[in-house]
Amino acid sequence: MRRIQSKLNTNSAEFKQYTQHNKNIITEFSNKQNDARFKRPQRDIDRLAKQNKMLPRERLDLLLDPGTPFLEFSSLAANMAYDGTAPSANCITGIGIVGGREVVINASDSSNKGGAWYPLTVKKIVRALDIAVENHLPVIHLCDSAGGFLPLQSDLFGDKYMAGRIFRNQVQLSKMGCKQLSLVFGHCTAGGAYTPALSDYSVIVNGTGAVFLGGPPLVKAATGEDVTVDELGGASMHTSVSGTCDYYAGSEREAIAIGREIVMQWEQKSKFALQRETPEDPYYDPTELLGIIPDDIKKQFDMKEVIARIVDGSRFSEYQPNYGETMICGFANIWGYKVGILGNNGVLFNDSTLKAAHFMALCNQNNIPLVFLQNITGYMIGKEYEQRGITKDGAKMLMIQGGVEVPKFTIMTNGSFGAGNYGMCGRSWDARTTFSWPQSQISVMGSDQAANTLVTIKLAQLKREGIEPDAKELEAIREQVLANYENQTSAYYTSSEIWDDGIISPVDTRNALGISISASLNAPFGDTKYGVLRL
Amino acid sequence: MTAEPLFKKVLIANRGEIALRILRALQAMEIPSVAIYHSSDRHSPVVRLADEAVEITGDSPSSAHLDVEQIISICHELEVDAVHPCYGFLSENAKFARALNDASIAFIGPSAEVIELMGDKITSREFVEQHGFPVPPSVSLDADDAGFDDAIAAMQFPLVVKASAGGGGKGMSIVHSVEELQSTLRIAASEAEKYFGDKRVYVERYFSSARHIEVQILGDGENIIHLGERECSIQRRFQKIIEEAPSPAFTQEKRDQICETAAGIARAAHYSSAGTVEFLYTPEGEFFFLEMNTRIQVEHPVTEMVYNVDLVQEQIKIAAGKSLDIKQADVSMSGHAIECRLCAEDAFNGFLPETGKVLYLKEPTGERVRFDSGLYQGQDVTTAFDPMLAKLIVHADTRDQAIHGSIKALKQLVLLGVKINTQYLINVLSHPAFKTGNIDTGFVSTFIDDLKVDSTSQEQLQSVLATAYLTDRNTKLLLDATPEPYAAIGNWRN
Amino acid sequence: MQPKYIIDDTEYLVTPIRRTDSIVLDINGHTQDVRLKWHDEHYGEITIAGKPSQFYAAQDEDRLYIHIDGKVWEVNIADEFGATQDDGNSSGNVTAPMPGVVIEVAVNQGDSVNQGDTVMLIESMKLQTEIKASVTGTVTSIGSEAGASFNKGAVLVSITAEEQS
Repeated sequence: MRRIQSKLNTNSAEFKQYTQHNKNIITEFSNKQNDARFKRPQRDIDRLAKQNKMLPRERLDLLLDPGTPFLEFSSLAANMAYDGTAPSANCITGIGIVGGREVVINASDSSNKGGAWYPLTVKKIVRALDIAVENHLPVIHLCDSAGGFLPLQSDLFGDKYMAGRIFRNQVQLSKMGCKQLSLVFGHCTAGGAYTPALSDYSVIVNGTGAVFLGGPPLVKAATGEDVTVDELGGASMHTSVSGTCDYYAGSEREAIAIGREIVMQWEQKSKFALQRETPEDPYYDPTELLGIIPDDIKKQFDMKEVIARIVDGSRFSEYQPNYGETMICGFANIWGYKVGILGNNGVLFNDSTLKAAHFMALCNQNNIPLVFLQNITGYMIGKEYEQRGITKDGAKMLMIQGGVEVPKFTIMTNGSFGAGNYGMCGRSWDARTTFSWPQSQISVMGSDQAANTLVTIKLAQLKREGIEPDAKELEAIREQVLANYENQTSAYYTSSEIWDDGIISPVDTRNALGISISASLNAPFGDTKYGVLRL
Repeated sequence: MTAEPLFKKVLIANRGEIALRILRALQAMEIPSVAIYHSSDRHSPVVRLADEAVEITGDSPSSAHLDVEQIISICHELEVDAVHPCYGFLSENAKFARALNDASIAFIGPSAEVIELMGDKITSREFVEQHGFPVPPSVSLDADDAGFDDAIAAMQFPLVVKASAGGGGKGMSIVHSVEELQSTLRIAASEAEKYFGDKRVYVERYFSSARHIEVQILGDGENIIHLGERECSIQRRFQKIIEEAPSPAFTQEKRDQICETAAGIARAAHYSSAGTVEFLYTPEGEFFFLEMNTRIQVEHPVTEMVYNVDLVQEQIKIAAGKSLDIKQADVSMSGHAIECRLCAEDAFNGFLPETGKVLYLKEPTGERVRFDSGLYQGQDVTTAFDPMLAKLIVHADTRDQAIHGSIKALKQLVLLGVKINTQYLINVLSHPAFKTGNIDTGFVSTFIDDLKVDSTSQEQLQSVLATAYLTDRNTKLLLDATPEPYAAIGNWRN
Repeated sequence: MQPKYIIDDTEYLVTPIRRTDSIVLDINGHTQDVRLKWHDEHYGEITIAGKPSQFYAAQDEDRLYIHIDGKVWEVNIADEFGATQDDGNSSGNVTAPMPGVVIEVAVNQGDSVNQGDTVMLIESMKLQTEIKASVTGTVTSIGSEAGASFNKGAVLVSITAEEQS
């Protein structure tokens, strides 16, 4: 495969300026992430130590195989919700290696609010289990949660994709033959009790672990019975009397060791035999990505320079290089795996739209997963393009993209506006994983356009009320609208609301994709039901 | 070899390296062999290689090997006409020799009378003294004896208390004062009774800086020759760990003198078989008779290498009634040989015995390198038997070359699963004081700090840890199980 | 779980960092590129930072024996299950300070003993050692009878400590 010839001038003032700009953004992102992971009130850390409990990340480090990666999902979930009181949405999810097996981890974070479930906690857990369902992965639950956060119970309990969905997904996983292991480190009360109960295997730690439908206070209130936690749902009772849990552990460390031993007994199913070559590091340094992404969302950059810093050996077999040039399509390898890449080099015209549709159909026939590198302002509008059928062509692209059987992966590299978000496999389109670069933005239209539209609406409303703002007031309204809009456009908002699987530094893209692709191969690829149309 | 073997069948009444050594001699002489073994030794090479092998039983593995009746009944059953006792166990048991004689079975060793005479430290001393040979100042007494104080007054401390029936370092202790002596005597007597069934002890002047020299004797009762001396001063806990031939201490004149004395003692006893006369040799050049060992010695190979004589084969011939056809004038020594005893012990922690399973064994090889061993992969090393597992003997033209060769061969030896004293032996052999040859029985305690050195370089530590990680069955399992691309991505976090 | 290796009572950490055709290890704080090649089941070559050494290795459960440069190291592998299985009630167990053979058992099951009483006489390395009661109490079991050999750490005599009133 031919190597991309980079035209990037790493000595240019522009490169240096962009690099500095993006370094600052990465630093801000890292700081936010570190706070979400580690910044806890001393009171909570002390409480865990007093209970002989490890911090959730200490448990994780013991559970995962040394020298293997952990692809964490949504580390900044809930970062803009609940006044920032539920960092990472009180839980840790991701894909890692335990006993040589690829597994999804679902770990309560009891170092904050006792690991209570907020609405976004539920959303994050459901998403992690969806990932397990979509990729046929086993799940290890590290249970230590106080249960649903009562003040917000109406936002987390009753609807289809709320708390019940966690257990529904557990049942689906079991039906599919995906193993589940629960390590019960803390209390699993009420609904939470079903997580270990619905797992194939469970280990419970003596003294701190407990599983029951109603805790001692509820039992007292309901029936007047006086009972201790241990009698009601402790390690000894559940492993020797009720059989609700399988293994008794004297300590958290022992529970993890037992858990690892259990996982090592699980069958290792054969994965889809995707075309693979020996992995090769990119020829061009991935850290140069920081000098490629401009300092303004409106400035264009060449997506081929990005591809050169993600794929093996910076090699890229470009499809239709001279046709529909605002859409870059081609074949490459990531960590050895064959992929078809679609990247935006400008607005989608008719030809670039059809090129993308045709390329996806080719990949689907050829069993090649798709990687979308989004930097899209949308489909071209105007009389000429409508007459050429841009809406029809966009529909073709959606029909093929939504219909392919191969796994899809999406990276929000910069802008994602309007219907382009759909065509390029935005969140609604079932990418196996979606990751955002920290400066990227998502919205129905660009912020300037949107602000102008919103200000027009606001002025019309004021006019009906008989208010005529002067130029200064007008500017103040405009600024406020813009600030709100941009706030909700940013990747931090996107990730807070779990519209993606997390923000990643651009240099981590290759590893995040490598793990995502590897995980996706656990599920069989479906059969294509139609031929390739030359559109 | 003669058409008719010297014996119809020889039983080897021992185990380990020496049993295998005797078997090799029997095979060379085309004499059919019988091995006896306790069940704990059932997989040992001698059991596999001997023509026949019979299991013996007892309260403990050692007591099985000490069971005279059982062994003689096996001899009868298998029509054995000679027994080789090797060293230890029944090798210096006159009752055993006599019982075999009574059953018309040859005992491959001297007569029961000579064993009795030399086996008792008190009577042997008297015998040697009567024939005008030098013995160290000593006294035989009980702590409660009336003459105790007077007898002690004539002696100079330190003294060594020895069990009369003892040997091989058992039942010995050094005392530095009268008080110490009195308490030691009582313990020594009870210990002696327990070990040897004979509570007599005696007290001897202890020479802390003397050498331990012994002379190899070979005789048929009439023709009695010596095969030079062995230097056995490197000892720990009164037990030899490194022996060499010849001793670096001697001029030819002195050598002749001590060797002739040894031969003289043997002649006086009309000695028949291989035997060893042990001496103390003081820095002043005096030597004193210590004891005579009426058996093949552990360290006999160093003599075999420098004299090119097979002592065991000669023993068998003599026991079969052949006269010794080697004359003193026929033999001369060539080069230098060193023996290292490989023992299952923690040499850096008080020489405490070590146990374990032999997981892997690779013996050293090379020209003039001899490795006498009964070791085998899978062997359980327990405290039921002596901790000595094998002997490495290296022969070279000069002492320096023999030292160098020994160190090289010790490094080649790979024994995994049981801690042995290889590094300690290397430390002794590499010590400048050892290299000068100016050594005595105090060597091990004099240089205790130098010999303790067991350092690991940072580089070695890293090699060991990396090897440990990559060969550890559990991590290997995990490494093999890790799917791609996870191993290549490594411990990355996003 | 982090593998831990113990050599002469010192604990060392070896952490894999990544593995392609060689493996990058953090060996006790030093990052090294390591390759291992087997010649046979027990014999191989380990190359650290380009420098090869021949090694022999054998494993017995949680103990590894490694021979490099003419020396043998005994490496204990720290149990993944850690010290969690300690029953915490071993104070009355009199354990063997070294391997040896029992010469004489001085007590019977059910006997009352005072702390420091001789309960057994053992022999090791041709020396006799008296084994004393670790606590005052009642002998509940005798681990080894006269004539039996035992390994270091074996329970020779178990004593149930007297209740403190």
